Amino acid sequence: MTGIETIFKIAGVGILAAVINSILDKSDKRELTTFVTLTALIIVLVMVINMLSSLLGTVQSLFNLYG
Amino acid sequence: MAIVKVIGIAFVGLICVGVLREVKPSLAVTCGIVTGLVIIYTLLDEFTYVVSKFNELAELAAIDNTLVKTVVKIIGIGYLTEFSANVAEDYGSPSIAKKIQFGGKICIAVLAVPIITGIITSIGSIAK
Repeated sequence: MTGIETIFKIAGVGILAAVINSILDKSDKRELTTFVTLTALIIVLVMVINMLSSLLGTVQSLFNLYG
Repeated sequence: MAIVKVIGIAFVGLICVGVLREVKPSLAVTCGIVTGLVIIYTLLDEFTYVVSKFNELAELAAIDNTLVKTVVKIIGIGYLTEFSANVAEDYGSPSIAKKIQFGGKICIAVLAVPIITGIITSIGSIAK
């Protein structure tokens, strides 16, 4: 989870969301596009939060910054 | 060499951010931050190597342990604040980045006070 594949995953989610949005536009379901964008953003943010928490944990333990 | 890996990851991340900027601008910034995270992960073992060597040198030179600990802490705080300030700027709010840097300065000042008092007392005792 800490390699380049995370970057590709995020790019994939972004492109997928864009494709789904364009499909929804074509089939006149414009109100669903906001939900698709929101879910894509949430998925990516959860991934980022996991990586960020592990990074901050390692930096804290590395420089013993407790308290 | 580690630097080649870092540059490779940076270019991959740049391309992904570029693609995402047209397709989905809100995710482009997140992808930039993840690229930074991945680069730091690849450099983590060099990081730990440097810090452990630093501690060994300090023990070799018989420097007071608390001194070394505060110096390492200050380095850590400096790094964390710089990282989060850059993230804040990426998200387009330099004012928050400045607040983070201001907070970092305060924390470092708090840590630096005992060192300064130690120096001044030692100078005072020498001057007597």
